[in-house]
Amino acid sequence: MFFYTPRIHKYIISGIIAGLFIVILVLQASINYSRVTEDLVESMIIMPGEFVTNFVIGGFRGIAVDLLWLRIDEMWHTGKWFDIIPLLRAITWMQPHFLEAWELGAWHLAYNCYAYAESAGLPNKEKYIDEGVKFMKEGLARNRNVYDLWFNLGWIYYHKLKNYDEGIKYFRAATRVKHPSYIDRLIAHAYRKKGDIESEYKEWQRCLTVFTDDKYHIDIVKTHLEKAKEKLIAAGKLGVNDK
Amino acid sequence: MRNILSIAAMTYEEALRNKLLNVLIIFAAVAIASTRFFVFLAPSEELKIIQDTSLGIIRFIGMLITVFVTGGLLPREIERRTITTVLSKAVSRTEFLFGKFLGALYAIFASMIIMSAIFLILIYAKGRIFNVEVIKALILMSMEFVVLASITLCVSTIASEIFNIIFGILIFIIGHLTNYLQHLAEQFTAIGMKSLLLALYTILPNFENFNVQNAIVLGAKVPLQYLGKVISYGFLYSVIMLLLGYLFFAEREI
Repeated sequence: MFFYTPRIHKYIISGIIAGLFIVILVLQASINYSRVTEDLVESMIIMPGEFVTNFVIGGFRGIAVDLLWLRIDEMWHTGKWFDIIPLLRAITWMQPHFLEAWELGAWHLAYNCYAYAESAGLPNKEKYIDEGVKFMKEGLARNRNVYDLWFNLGWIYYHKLKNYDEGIKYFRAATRVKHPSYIDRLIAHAYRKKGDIESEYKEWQRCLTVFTDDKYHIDIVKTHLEKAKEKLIAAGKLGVNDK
Repeated sequence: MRNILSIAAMTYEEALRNKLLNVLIIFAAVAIASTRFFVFLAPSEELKIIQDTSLGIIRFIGMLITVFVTGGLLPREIERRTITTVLSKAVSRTEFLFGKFLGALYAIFASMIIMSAIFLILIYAKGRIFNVEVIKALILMSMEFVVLASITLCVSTIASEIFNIIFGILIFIIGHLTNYLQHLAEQFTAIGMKSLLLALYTILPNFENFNVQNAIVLGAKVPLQYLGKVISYGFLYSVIMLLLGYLFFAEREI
């Protein structure tokens, strides 16, 4: 073609490049959407002015987290209980989906630091339990689609604070996502500890309808259901032939 | 096509003779294997530590290999004047450029295969598991290096070797921060600034697309659809860079 000059060739190539950039823009929007919906984003929790940290660490924050985790292990064995907390916080900033860090941090505050404060006679020892709960709730805000932190927060309320209503609330939230069978049973146990036999009985009945393939779970539930039934009959709240 | 393949084979052989490439691969192999030794410090997180550290090492060394192999391809040929001999023998500039790119990819993939094999053997030996997600992360990482190689080659058509290497490393770092440009653009109300930031966001490569390392180490799954999208993104971006490189190289006086 006589009119196909090198200049026109250059323009055509430039046009193709511009067109491909438009395709890339559309593709990038789709990739961004997928990264959020598939939970592939592992952004650091940082303040706006702190993006330099991200710049320095770049794609190697996993290594930084591992090194901090190793340092925690070392501190653990040397009894530096309170120095562990800022390191755990740093880990959760860098990898907010690293569940073990949230779990360990909250447990460490609510149990270990509390016990240490109690034995050392420090004032205001309860604040460590509050800190543990706060820490876990912070992690929960970023990991709502897995059962782990719902369960662990429920456990602090159930076991440490004996606040069974709050425990039940978080255990129940844990059962709304994929979870192991013992969480369903813990809800019934929480009602038992609370002294609410009727709710406990209803909960054991509900437990019979979940994890039906799990013989171990069903056997335990049946045993507890019988016990709860006996207690209800003894209290006159249920007839012998009632279901 | 035969010319492209011959140039690619020559480039690959030349890259294998490069002492720096061999040193980097040996260093990576030793570093990956050594992750096995310090995991005893954290018994519950052994696999996580091996995966995190090894993937980080592969990404870093892979980036260096890509930049060092690709950055010198054209400037070295021009400096030694061997390019004039090749181009005078019925080899077009386009064939030369694409042949060089293909040869660099051979070398990059070969080193990726070696590093990945050591890593996969290590995690298999540790956990007796074969995690498909790790393979996906390695595939995406390889695609990231293809994009980086195409950018470095594009720049090498107009710049010196040292400049290419520095530019390659910087674009790798900037490419991992591209997402911030979008967030930054959202903060501005002035159309001019917003448009500038969005234009930069589109033009600069987004290497975070290829980074699923942290997510998979923490148990996330990478859907095949996502893999397909990101590979398409990498392919298109590389085509753009090669076309740009072709335009620059066609204009260059040798």
